Formats: sequence, C-alpha cells, structure tokens
Amino acid sequence: MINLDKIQHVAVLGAAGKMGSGILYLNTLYLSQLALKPENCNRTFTIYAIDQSHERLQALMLYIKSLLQKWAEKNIIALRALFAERDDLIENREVIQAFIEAALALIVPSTRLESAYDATLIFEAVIENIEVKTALFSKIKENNPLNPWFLSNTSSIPIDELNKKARLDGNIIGCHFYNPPAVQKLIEVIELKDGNKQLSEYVYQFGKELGKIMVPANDIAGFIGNGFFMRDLLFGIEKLKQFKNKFSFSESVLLVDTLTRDFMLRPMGIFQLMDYVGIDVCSFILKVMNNYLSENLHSELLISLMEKHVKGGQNADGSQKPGFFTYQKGRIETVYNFDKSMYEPIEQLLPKVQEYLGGLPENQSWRSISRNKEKSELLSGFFRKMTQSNTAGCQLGMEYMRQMKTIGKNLVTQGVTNSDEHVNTVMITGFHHLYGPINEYC
Amino acid sequence: MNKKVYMVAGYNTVSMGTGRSEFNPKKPRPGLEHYIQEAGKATLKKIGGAKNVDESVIGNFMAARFNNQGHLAAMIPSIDPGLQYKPSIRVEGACASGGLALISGIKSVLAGTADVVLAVGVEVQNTVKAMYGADHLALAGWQKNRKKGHAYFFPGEFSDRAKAYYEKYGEEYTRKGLATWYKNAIENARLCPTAQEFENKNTDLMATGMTQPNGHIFVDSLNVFDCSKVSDGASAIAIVSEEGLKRIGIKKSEAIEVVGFGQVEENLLDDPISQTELTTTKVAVEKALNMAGISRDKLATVETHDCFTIAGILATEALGFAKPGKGAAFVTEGNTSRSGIIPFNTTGGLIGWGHPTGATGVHQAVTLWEQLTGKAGMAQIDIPKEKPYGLSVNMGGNDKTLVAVVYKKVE
Repeated sequence: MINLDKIQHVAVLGAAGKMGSGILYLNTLYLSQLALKPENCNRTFTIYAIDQSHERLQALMLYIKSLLQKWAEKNIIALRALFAERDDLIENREVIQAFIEAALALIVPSTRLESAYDATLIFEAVIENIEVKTALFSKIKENNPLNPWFLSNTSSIPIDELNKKARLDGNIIGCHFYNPPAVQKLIEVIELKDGNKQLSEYVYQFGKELGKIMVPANDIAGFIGNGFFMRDLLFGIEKLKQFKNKFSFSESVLLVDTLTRDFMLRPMGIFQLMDYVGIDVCSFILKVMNNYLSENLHSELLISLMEKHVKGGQNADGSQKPGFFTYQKGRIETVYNFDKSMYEPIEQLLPKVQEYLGGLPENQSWRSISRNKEKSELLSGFFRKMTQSNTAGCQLGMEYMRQMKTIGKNLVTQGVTNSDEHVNTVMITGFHHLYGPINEYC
Repeated sequence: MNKKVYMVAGYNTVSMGTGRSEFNPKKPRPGLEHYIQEAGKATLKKIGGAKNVDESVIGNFMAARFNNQGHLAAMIPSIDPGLQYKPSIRVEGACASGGLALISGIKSVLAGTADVVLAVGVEVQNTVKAMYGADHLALAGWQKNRKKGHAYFFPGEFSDRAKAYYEKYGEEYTRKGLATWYKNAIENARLCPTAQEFENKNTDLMATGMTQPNGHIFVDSLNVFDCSKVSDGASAIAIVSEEGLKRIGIKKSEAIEVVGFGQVEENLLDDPISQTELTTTKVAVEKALNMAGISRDKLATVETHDCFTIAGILATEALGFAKPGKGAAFVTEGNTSRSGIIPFNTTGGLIGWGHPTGATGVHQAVTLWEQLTGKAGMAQIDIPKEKPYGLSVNMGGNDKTLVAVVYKKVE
C-alpha cells in the first residue's frame, strides 16, 4: 500500500505546457477519486499547477475542466456509485457538476516555484534541458522539508544524471508520458538501479488506476521511444541522399515520407512525424542523446532547417506549423524546397514520386487495417506480397523494414530494454504503428 | 361511440438522429418549430388548408428540458396564420404524449366541439448528450426513485424487466427473442425512407442483436441495440367527423375509422406490479378492443411501443398473442415479422423508425393510416379483407400512461 501522506500534495512543473497539462489532468483524475473515498474524507489533497504565466494558467484551468467533463460524462455509471451517499445529487448533470467542481478545487494554480516546497510529489514536464531541470529540482530539494519524490517526464535525459546533478538521493523516477497524455495510453517508466522502490510502486499503481500501459525501460538516453524514433528519423534523412541525383530535395522528402507512410502502413510518414513532434524538438533530443551515447546521432539537415526558421510543431489550437510540409485540414499541401527556401505544391511533385515508387502491394492503408479485426492476417498478406514485388517502392519498403528491425534489436542488445516485446509495445501504443518493428514480415 | 371519427392526411417528418447520414451532431440542426411546421403544413395541405381546422392539439413530452421551451400550444399558429386565434392545447403524458393528442382530438370530435382537429406530436432530443437526455427522460418516472435508479434511468428500468424475464424463462431463450425483435425492426425500417435506420446496412442483424449486455458501460441486461433511438421528429394527422370529411373534400376510403380506444393511467408512485407483465398495456388494449367490439384475430397489424426490445416481447403477451413467457418464442418463430401471423411495427417501430418521444403516438396513427389505405409504399403489407383492423399501443413511462386505439379500414 502506498502511504497517502507521500502522495497527497502534488506539484506539476510546466503545468500549462503540452505535456504538463495532460499530466496535471491525470493527477487531478487520480487524486479526485482518492479524495472521494469515504476513508479519505479528512484528508486534504492538493495539486499545485506551476507555470510561468497567469494567462496560460487560466487557459489551462478551462482545458482541465473540459477534459474532466468529458471523463465524467463517459464514466457516469461509476460516478453515480461514487456519489451514492450524496442525497442532494440526483440527476446525472448534478453528479457530473459536483465531480468537476470537487476535482477543480484540488488544483492550486501558481506562477511561483515556492508552491512546490509544500508538495510531496513533484511531476516535472519542463523544457528538455538538463540544466533547467536540475536547477528546479535542486531548489525544491533544498527548500522542501517534506523530502519529496520526483517524477521526470524527460524523454531522453538519463534519470541518473538528474539524480546526481540535483542530489536527489535516488528519489526520482522517469515517467515518460506520450502526447497527449490525457489520451495516449503509454507511459515509459525508467527506474534507477538503486532507486526508491516505493516511488516505483506508486508510479505503477498510478498508471494502472488511469488505465495506462506501463513499459519499463532502462536508464539509457532516449529510452525506448526516442531511442527508436531518433534512429528511425536519421535513417529517413540519410535515405534522402540516395535520391539526390534523380530527384530534387522536395521530391525526395515527399518520396521517403510516402514510402514510410503508405508502404509501411504507418499513420504518418517519417517527415510528417518530425513536423508533428517539432523539428526543433527532434534536434534537441538528438543533441541530448549524443551527449550520452558513443553513437553519432546528429543531423546537419535539422540544424540548417532551424536556421531557416523551419521548425514544425503545433499551434495552440492543435493545427500544424510549417515544417517539411505545410498542411490544410491535416493533409499535406506543400513541400519545402530547401535550396529555394520556399514551399512547392504537392500536386507538382507527386506524379514523379508515385511513378518511381510504383503501386502498393495491396490496396490497404494504416486506416483501413487499423479498423479491421483481421489485422494480423492483412498485415502478413500485405508484406508477403511486398517481398515478392520488384517495384522500387516495395523494395525500398522492405529495406526500410529490415532497418527498423535492426534498430529495434539494437535497443535490446544495447540494454535499453530487456525484451523485444517492450520495443514493439512502445511503437504500437506510443506511435500508433500497426505492428512492432521486430516482426516476422522481413 | 355516438358518432363516427376518422383519421386522415397523416405525415411523418424524417426521424433524425444517429443512423441518418444527414445527421451531424456537431452542426446546427433544425429546432422544435421546424418539425412542428413541417408536419403541420403537410397535413394542412392535404385537408384544404388551415381554414378547415376547428382546433389543434399538440403532444410533447419534454421540450421544457430538451429545448428550453414551454407553451407549445401557442406554437401551433406558427404553422399557418389561419390557425391564429383558434383553439389549441398541449398535452403531456411522457412518451404517450402523442397518443394523448389523438385521444384529445377524438374526444373533441365526439363532443361535437370540432369537426376537424389537427393533431401534432413533436420531440427534438438531440440537443443534449445521451447522459443528460437520460435525466430529462427520467422525469417520466417517479422522481423519488431517480436517485437509486440507473444513470440511464429508463434503460435501467427495462433492463430490470429483461432480467426478471431471463430469470423466469431463461436467458438464451429471451436474448434470441430480443435479437429477433431488433432484426425485424431494422428490416422494416429499411423499407421506410423517413426511418432513422433506413440506411442501416448491417449484414448480420441477428449477431448484433445477440450482443452480450455490459453493465460497466451501459445496463446489465440490455445492449444498446435493444433500445429505441434518440430522435428528433414530428408527425401530424387530421382527426375528423363525417361532416369534417365532407368539409375537407376527402373520400372516406382515403381515411381510417377510429372504432375503439382505451386510455388509462397506473399510479406513478408504485413499482411495477409484475416485472414480466405490462399490466397497464393489457387493460388499455382490452378496453380498446371491447369498444371496437372485435377480437384480436381481426387485427391485420399492430404498432406497439417498443421503446426497448423487451417491451416488444412483453407487448405480444399483454395483447394476448402469446401466453406469459411465450412472447420470446412467438417473436423468434417469426410471427411478428412482416410476413408473420400478425405483423408488428411495419416501418420499424421505435427501434427501427425512431422515437421522437412526444411524436410517437401520432407516428403510430400515421403508419396505420398508411397501411390501411394502401399508402405505405415499399413497407406496404397485405391487409386481408377479413382482417380490416389495426391497433396502436402508445406507452408513457414504465407502463404508466397507456393509449390504445383500434382503427378500421373504410370500404
């Protein structure tokens, strides 16, 4: 059993950010249900939502309210049971309203780090920068008399680095959520070798209660998710060179993106995924990983793009900013021409790319298969035909598949994880792939 | 009855909601007034306009909650300026509000205060999400039972009836009956262009109907396919005397005759007398058949209030077509299908056509008017000469307000 004294005052650092807001929501959901249990009626639970501006914190509260409302509406049967003793709450509307109000009342928005000095549990979701993270941790550690536990959402920095630099005495764990945390099922958990066991127990219980899929990863920079994704994107970028003589830059980008989406049955191509995550974020993660690993993980292209202010990422309303592509209602509209520093309409580039790649082995897509109950049969059939085809698209696709398998296998041999299964789970749940990279299709 | 009463010139709007391809919950949709006006105007057009109407009646259950709108009788003149300053009343009896509108019109004609009554039923429910709609609909139950009731109150009430039936007669046996009821409903709805399930393309309805209920996400003993739809819609029909028919210039053969009705109430504060019997339905139907002076074997078709599949099964028993516990078998064996001994709900009923609650009673009358006058289009069934009658059963709440009407084809 987790000691509730240890988890009843939570602080979320970077609460108004893309990841922080989701983490705040999950904490609110978790603690509000604990708070509603009769045995906890004399406890006060608190969640400090800490971020830099009042304006963002106000918008955050509205966002959290809308998420809580959706959750409550979906879980009305369970909620009525939770509120069974409250004779004043009769209709669903009243129960939902009461739940939202009680949950929001737990949150204390704050622009001051000092609020975290009263917390027993510190969730961190600030910028992926070791100096910034350790500075915050150290300050809290020095000033917080409660000897708090720390949970970092870092997707690439080794947890032990944070532990040592901030002198946290092993009271830290990696708890890497996927975007958006409110919806995404995956959490990568990175425990220290001699870390706090109670903290680990808490993380797993927290995840379980919220219906998350927890995958343990070892404490090696990038862990499983970025360990795979960064090598995947570097391979995609490397591939561009192969087409240098036959195709323009924009044509090559479109070609590799189409290949990785349509021939590999992924929800988006590798360059679109970089846009989604943010070219700046990808570049940043590569830099962090490069610091800790002997392998050369570096892309000149991404750095040059950032110099040209081509950064991708998303606007506050969830729409995509220009990156390798620009988008209209989620669909690629234009492709970046690196030499001319301008975007070209996709229609001008697509015919040549399609002619080169040739047709798909079967008329299937990520969407069509993901909705089908016979998923594994369809995938086997698709990739079997792909191995038998001589078109450039199919051959490149198989080469890509083999490379992905190698990347996946290397994560196991390098000790990032102890199991093929974990690699596959992360790619399937965290990246919405239909199949894991370590498979029998190639 | 002291004089002849007819119904004529029926009209149903589309039953709008999930299932219709034009339905988009994220976009603005027509409101209450649109449906009232569409149905009202259509009926007026067939009877020579508003000048022929003596009075109107509108049945609606819960516009005050679903649409923030009360005072519906005063919306009647919005159908046509010719209805301005003429009598109009609004009636409410939960999901039997439409049936009450019919009764009100019939009584006006019988009383001689009107020769032509415009009866409208309406409900627009897709204004709120299902769990809030459940709150609104729960007002058809005794308010003091709401707290202990299910989040989805009425599905919960009828789930309890299904559970009792399971326990008494066997689960697999019952489930087959419920699934067959669902299958018939959808197959019939596919023949009626205004039905909410008109475009349903499911190729294995029986398998869908057999879906195991899951109490974690819905109710314990019914699946979502056992439930009628959340619908927006209106229906209208003219209730007229012989003089009225002359005034509107419509031949008797274009009308159906009301030959009997039963409208009864059971104490709302009481729990059901038996979970496996629709006691009030039984009383109302007996009254209606007695007044009509016919036995049930003269009926060519029945429109019954299948708000849930279990209500359909229980109705076959309450109407006397099957003995207690044999309703599920009666349905499974195909007796209620459109080619069976007694076709039920030939355009899909509440499960297939839709259930705009306050409109349903009027919709049933319109469907029977179409069937008995040969206007049912693709959904037309054969009306044997020796069986010229149709019966409608409209239920409010959990078998509390009942309206049963017997109609006769006019030669």
